[in-house]
Amino acid sequence: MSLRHIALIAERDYLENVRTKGFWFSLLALPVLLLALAALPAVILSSQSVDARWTVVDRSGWLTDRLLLDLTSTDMRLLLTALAADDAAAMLSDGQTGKLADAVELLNEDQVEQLVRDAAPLAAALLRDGGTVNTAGNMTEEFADFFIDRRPLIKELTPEASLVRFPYVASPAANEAELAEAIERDALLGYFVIPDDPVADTDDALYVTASLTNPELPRWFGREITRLVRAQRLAEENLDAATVAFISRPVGLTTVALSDDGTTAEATLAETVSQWAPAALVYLLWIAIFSVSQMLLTSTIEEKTNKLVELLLSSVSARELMLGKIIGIALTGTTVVLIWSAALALLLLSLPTLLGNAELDFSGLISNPVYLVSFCLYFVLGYLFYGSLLAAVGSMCSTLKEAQTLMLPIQLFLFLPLIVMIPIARDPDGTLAVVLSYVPPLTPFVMTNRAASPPDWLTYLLTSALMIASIWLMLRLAARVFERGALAGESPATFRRLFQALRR
Amino acid sequence: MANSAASLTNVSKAFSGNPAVDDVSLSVPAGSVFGVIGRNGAGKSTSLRILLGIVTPDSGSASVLNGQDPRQAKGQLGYLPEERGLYRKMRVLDVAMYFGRLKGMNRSDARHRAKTLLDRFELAEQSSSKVETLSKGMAQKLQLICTLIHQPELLVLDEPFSGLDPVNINLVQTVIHEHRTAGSTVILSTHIMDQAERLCDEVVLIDAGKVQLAGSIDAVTAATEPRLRVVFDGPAADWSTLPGVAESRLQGTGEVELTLTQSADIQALIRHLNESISLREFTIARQSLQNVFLAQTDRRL
Repeated sequence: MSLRHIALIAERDYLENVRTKGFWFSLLALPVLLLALAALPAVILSSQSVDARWTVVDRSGWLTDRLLLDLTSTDMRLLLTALAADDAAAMLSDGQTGKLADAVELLNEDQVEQLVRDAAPLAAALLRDGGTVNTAGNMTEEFADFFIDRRPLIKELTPEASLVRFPYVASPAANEAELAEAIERDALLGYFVIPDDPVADTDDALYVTASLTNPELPRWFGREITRLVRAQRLAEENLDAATVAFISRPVGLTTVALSDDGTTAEATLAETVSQWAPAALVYLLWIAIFSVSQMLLTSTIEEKTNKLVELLLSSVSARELMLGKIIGIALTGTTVVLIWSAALALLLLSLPTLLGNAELDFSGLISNPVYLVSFCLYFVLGYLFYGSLLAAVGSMCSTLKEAQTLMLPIQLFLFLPLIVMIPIARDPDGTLAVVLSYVPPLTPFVMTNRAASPPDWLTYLLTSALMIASIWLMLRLAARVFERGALAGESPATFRRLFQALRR
Repeated sequence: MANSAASLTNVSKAFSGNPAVDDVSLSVPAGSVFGVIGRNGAGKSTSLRILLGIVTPDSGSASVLNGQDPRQAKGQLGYLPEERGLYRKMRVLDVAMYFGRLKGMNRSDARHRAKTLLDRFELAEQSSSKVETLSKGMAQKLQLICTLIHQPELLVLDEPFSGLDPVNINLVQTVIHEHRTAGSTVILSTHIMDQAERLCDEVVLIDAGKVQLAGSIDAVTAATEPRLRVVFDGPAADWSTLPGVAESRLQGTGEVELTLTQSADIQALIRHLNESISLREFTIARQSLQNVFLAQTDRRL
């Protein structure tokens, strides 16, 4: 067997693959998808703040007032915190707001609370009835005016505020026909109808909208008015809200992670995710192995369809051709997987910054040697096993349709690692995990799945040895089929022909 | 076989229990153009594949170029298969170089030789184009370049004229002549008999997986019944009763072609004709390879 031939075939297959549009598409698809998923919450948040406008037809006469006062107070507290931040004054372009920020920065906690108590009713009333403060004389009026008038700036400072995400539209003399028209004009996403006695009537509130695909607004509104109605019911029953809250408080259960050195510490989010990461790695491994093996299958069929095989076999042996192709496509796949992994690692590393949550620190997960080695080792072993299998299948087929028929039983079998993924992640040392680790076609997936609670080195050694022996056997059988299949004519590929080629 | 460029010895091969070649032996003289003739499906391609080391025989042996195992001598063999394709997405120069390198050439030699051949076959302008942009005739030339790039000592052409345009037919014939002149050996598989007769020094006729005839063109055609073409005036004779005549075929008024038996005394027959009819002209003709082929396979193409 000539290594030079194998290298030449591998080089050609690699270069030809990386020059195709399909390669660049697969290369960029996953990172783009990951970035899109990471950006999705922010996109949803920003799109909601524009579209999710609402108003209320309040027959109770009190609930909307209380709701607006409550929302205004909460949002004002958020805004004051943002204004008091060190960089707020610098962010604010005009002198008036800059001065307000400077003034807020000097307030203590009690003064902030007092300002909210004074300014919130004023702002809530303006919000409900429309209009602005005519002359802002003192800080309370100035702040209330700022809160009502400077919505774009407030959106920038506190994008998470309720009235930023779900802007209230004043409709003092609203009738439902006008509101329906407003919905048609897209001036409103929807409006709520509060019954005469929301404390007594539990099911009579309505949400009217033309858009049934946005559940966020009614969900949020329902939560808010339930909270207020519940407080009203407690008050009417002379129950103290704090006492009720205390009684209904659940028992806190904190998960503590036991580390290798026997110490315990409260499990962080990153640690919890890290325990589940192997399951995600199995999925990634599954996609990587089969997308790369599929490339090999397609390439083999194309070479046969293009009537190149015979010419190639006059220069190299069938085994050299098959190995060259397997290695060439493996290099292509490895390039894809490395770039995917790098994109994933970058995304995980930037999550704390992107989402502003320091708990999402996955640097430990990325540098975990067991995960890294498991993924790389089992990608290579898994690909060699399935790659040789698919090369043999490809050599027997003249079209992808024929290949799909032969592939069906293999594909059905290969759902098994996905089916057992969660049970194995929950119990990585259980009987199921241990037994399936020694079934060669499943070894790469099951062993990667067990990486959160890594088995001992002997298990790694034995399963890898078994896997390597299986690959050797598979390569021999595949070469036998390949030699026969590559030169077979146009007769359709069938299981009978496959077995005949194996028996030869 | 000291003077043999390639040989098969008692080779048999079956696919799924169906014999493709059965106890085939042949020897290709070095420096000759050797024709493998036969019907489609007769076993020609399988014989060539065994000779090239592409297919392993069930029994018997193959050797090329001074008794080498063909699998070890692939770098010295050039093969143009009957069903031929190219990598459509590759550049023309890269394809030629790739096949040169697979045959053992280093990158720079392969580049140099590929450029020379592309220039000679008038494809130099397309050397940077993708194969898929070539016309059919250009692609055929490139296939020939891929076969010749490493200057093979033994050139095997399986139905080389199949699907070629007249310009490329001429090109392949020129290549065959050049190789013979240079002392290389060419094996040519074809079912077009007049081409085999014109180009080959020796032929082997394979039918139903077995060798039916082998030898030089002269020997093969001489081994079959001679023919006598007769032009006459006046009434015809009763041709079938003439001594030594196996078959007669009227070619029109006053002309007949007589197929004679191997033992026919042609001189006596001509004397007899001269006495019995008004003989104007006669020609003793050798059987064409086409007729030999038809006689052997008992079938019209």
